[in-house]
Amino acid sequence: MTAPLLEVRKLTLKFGGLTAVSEVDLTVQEGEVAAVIGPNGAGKTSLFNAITGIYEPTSGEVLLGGEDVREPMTRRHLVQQALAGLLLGTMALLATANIDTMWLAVVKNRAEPGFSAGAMAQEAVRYLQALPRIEPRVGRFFVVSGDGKTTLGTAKTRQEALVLRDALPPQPAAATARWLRLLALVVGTAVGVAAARAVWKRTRRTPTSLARRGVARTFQNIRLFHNMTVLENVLVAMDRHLGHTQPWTHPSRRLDTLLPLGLLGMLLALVATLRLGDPAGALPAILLGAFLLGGIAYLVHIGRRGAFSQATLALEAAASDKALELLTFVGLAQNANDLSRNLPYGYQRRLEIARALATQPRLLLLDEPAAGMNPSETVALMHLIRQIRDRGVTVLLIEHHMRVVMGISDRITVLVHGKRIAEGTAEEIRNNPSVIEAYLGTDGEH
Amino acid sequence: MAALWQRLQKQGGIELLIRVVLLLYPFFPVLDWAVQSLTGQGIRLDRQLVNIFIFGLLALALNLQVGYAGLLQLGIAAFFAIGAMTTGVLTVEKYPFQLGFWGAILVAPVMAGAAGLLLGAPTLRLRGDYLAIVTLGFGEVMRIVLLNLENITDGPRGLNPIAEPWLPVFVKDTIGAEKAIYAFALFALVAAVVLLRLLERSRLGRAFVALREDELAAACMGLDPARIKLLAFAGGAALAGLAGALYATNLTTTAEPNTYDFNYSVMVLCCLIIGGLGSLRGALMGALLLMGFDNVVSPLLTRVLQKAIGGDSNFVMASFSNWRWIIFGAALVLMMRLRPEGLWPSRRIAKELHEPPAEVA
Repeated sequence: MTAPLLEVRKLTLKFGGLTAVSEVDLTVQEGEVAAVIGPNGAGKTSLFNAITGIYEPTSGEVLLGGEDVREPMTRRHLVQQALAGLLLGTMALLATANIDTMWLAVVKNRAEPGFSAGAMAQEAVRYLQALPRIEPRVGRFFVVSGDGKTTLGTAKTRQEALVLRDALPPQPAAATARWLRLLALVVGTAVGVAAARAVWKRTRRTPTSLARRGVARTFQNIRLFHNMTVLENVLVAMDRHLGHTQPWTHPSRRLDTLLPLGLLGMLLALVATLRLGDPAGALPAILLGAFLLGGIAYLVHIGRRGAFSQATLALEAAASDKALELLTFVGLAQNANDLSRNLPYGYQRRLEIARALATQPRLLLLDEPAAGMNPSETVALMHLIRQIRDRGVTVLLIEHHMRVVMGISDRITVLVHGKRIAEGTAEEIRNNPSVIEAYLGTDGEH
Repeated sequence: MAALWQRLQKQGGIELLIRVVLLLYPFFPVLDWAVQSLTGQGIRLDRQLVNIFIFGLLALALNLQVGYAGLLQLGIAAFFAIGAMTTGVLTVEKYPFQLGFWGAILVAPVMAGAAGLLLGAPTLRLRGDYLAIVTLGFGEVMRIVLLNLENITDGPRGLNPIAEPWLPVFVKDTIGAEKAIYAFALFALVAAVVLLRLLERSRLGRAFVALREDELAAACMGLDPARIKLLAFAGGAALAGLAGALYATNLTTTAEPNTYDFNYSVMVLCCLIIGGLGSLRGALMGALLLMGFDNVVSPLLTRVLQKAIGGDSNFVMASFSNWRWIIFGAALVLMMRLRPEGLWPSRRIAKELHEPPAEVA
């Protein structure tokens, strides 16, 4: 048997001393409609939030298609962590070593010919090792000990200072400074790696990553993008499926407009430079001409074509078609260009469903989809949920309307005070004494 | 002519007027030149306009962060300063790099963008006021760092002289470096406007709006808020760095680090608020109004004022530029009171600002 689509194992969620969800197990098979019911405050929405990555569970596991939903550590993460460590370590080192004096010893000695990048790097390493260095100050070159505390000699030119430095008896590196710098490097790196690891740990399970793994949801208190149109709301959710196109990439038309004008710019610059008898300036002039004329051509091009390339436009058009199809599916096609906040309440709920479907989920979590709906809307919603299931999307819902829950759910889980007290088909739940007790209370309590 | 008139009616007069003025911008130096050769005395309008272009770039940069991504940033001057300092370090004669303007103009945005990432990454989870405080602090820290790294930045003196941009001989002989900077600043501004307009209408622009409206819902739809915010942060910082590079080159010095203080950041924010948050036209208009006031109107008024009180130029109250903070402040208060969306807002943001309080569901 294949692994269930969603499996929640012993999930516990605590807020300080309050246990919102306690060791809940939940299994949703592919292709079914499952429901979570329970009195108010039973922890249903908290469970949803834990499944969709909004809350980090205190303990327990969430598996999607048999796999842990937390992102595994990949080589990319390792590289990122190493880089963060390196960055922070370098910053700590430069701060401890005093980058300002380092600049004096490394960069400000330019006056001598032959002071190349290699020599600069060498000087930088010497400086960081706290070996004697040369500091140009007030027109003279000072040979200074590694910790900067004693002047070992002065000279008029850098060359002389170098000779002076080499002639010194082998100086011990300033040990304290050296150790301090090493310490800064090590501690900085460690802190950087630790911080990056902490961030990674915290972002292993995010709403984004869960959405990308195929879990979409709606919200109990509607959270649409209120000032966007209905269509835009759906398009935002399709963003991930739009590929890598960005506005400034123009795969179809870029070359054939840029190339000729860039070439023209080069040619003009070349002719002008040569005519003016400045052959040395020819190459830079060509580059500059190509850059400017090509740039202008590019701007005119993207500015005039309504900004987008054929490929981008085609993608957007396809996305719009898909979005409209989804809106038709939930019955909102005629409202596509309305602002979503102007929609009636029931429509907003439907739009949330369409938006969630636009992320192409495998599992759709509906948080009280029938709340605030009148009876006829509720019937339509039940029909819609069945249709969603028939599209191959598994549905897990929270609902208080027992007619909806009993009417469409293949399997029902009952939560009370954060604990699962029952699970089964609608018939089983209806006849379960502990469920009846939880909802109606025992005889003695009244 | 009839067609022109038709367009005027169709598009509205203001729109057309602005287009005409925009088309005239490249010719201002020519105009200036003509006036100078005719009368022997230039009006030097292009000198002021370069500053306005550069400030406009800065306003666009902040608009990307504050207007589009909704990240309240009060330290934009820091990135501007990083751009300027990078240009200084890479071009002045006493350092061995000497990449020249064209090299620096490529490196400066990269450095500023990297600084943007460095500031953005750890502050991603902060919002609103908290982010504002952190960025404000960053701006001030950067100013003080630049002031104190005296061996690198020459402290309060600033790095100078920054050589004028290398130009092919035929350009140099005909229009000269100053006008070339003017042209390049205009080019950069237009390029930024075109690209940002694209961004506004693209899926990324859509993602920005979604993120501003409801970050959690956007994340649940598979958008990555961290990535998008960092993109805005780094992009805005890089643009500010470009503006800084142009600024330093235009000034031929990196100026005193105290130039890039909190007031400067607030000035840029003022531009956005007066012009309209999240609107490109608004940001540019704000820059034009504020910098135009600072550079053109205020010296003029100062002259008038001093004449009126008898020419005592040492009298502090008589210098109009000392009044400008009061005037900007009053303008801000009035804007907030009467038209919080700015003079020329984006339609969407105006809606967001006039949103009725959320109903209790």
